[in-house]
Amino acid sequence: MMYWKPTLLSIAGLAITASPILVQAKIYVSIEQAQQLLFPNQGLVKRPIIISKALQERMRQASSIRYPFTGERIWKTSDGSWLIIDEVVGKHEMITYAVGIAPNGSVKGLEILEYVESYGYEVADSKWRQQFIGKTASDPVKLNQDIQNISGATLSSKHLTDGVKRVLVLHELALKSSVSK
Amino acid sequence: MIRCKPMLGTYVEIQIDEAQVGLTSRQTHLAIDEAFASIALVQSLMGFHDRHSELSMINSYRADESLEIHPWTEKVLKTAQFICQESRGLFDCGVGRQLVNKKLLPLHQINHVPSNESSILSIQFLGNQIIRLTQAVCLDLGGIAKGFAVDEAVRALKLCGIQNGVVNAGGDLRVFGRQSHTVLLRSPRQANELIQIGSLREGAIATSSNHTIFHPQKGSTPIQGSYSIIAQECIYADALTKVLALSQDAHHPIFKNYQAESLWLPA
Repeated sequence: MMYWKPTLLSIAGLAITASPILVQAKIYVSIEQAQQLLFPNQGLVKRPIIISKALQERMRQASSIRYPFTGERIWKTSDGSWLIIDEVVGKHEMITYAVGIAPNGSVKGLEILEYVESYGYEVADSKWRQQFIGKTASDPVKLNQDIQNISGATLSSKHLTDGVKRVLVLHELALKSSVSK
Repeated sequence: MIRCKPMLGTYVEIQIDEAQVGLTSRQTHLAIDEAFASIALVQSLMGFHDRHSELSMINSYRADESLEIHPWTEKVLKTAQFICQESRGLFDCGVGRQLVNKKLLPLHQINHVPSNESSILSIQFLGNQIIRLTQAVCLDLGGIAKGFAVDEAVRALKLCGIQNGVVNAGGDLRVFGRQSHTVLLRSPRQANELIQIGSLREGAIATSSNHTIFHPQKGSTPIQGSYSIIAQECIYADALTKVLALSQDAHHPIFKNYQAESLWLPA
């Protein structure tokens, strides 16, 4: 049985006096959880690579993402699959995501790890992120409890599509041919 | 446990309560995978951007041609047609061409049906998932399929034994189970502000902003603001936001038919 209890007296045209809440970071899954989700019960070995200038340029052309990719968070499975973690920065947000790539080079799966809305905040500033850690039930917004139930503007996932393109280029040019050990 | 994937042109979040009775975390994850798979199927059937979707096939057919479609596509088309009739044409998925002209949707090599002739009402249902077009159409199901996808995701979770959860596809969200959930709304005035609008149990809410809504006959967009509908199922919540935005009437009689509540926040 549906039950809806409005907080606002919803009269069309009502001026809102409710106190606004600032949008925050959302953490979905950890790196370890993403590894389990994309490659359940498979051993992953960390295989970071140094991204050459030429490779960085090829990735930029394919995806039109300007800022550099860091080759730090890359793992390989024994059957030749790869897991790559990358970040894309949109107009107002930063998204950390994991891509699983099967041995044949196709995308096996995609999982979002974290979504941070910036709106002019310095998202790289860990202090700003720190303030959301340790929130309790008595706080006006309970991180990952209230915050996910947002009904409103649709968020575009275009930046992420570009991000996946560059990860696939990375796999094609630098990972596929790497000698498995 | 909360997971998120990019789907339906937005970010889809599925959250379920860790304390599910008698399920391992592996079973919980498999249930969420099933729910994401349902959404992926809706996307592959009804996506406008995908030139190989069933929707694109329908859009490429000519008048008097018939084709067989998936039962899910049939359900969405039937619901869309019904709401079109009940709203006296205010909600008409035939606006695909207008959205292409506004560069909101990609142009495919399809019958270039004039936008004023394309209507969901041109579809005849012959039974057994067979439809016939009385006129060529250019349909966009963007105003209803997302809500349907949320409903199917919830159905998949329940079939896997999940009793409480939330599925949120970029603002089209449905909550199920015994818990009440606080619902926040993105402020139409300040994109970085959220407003707490109420608490919901066993129901759905969808919100539309004005800039992707077109009047099927006039081609105009409603005045700026945020238009929300609360209903039992997300497919109705999703579709009825357009009726609210286009009628500018928070007490439109159609809302009663679906026991829906409306909420309109002008910008």
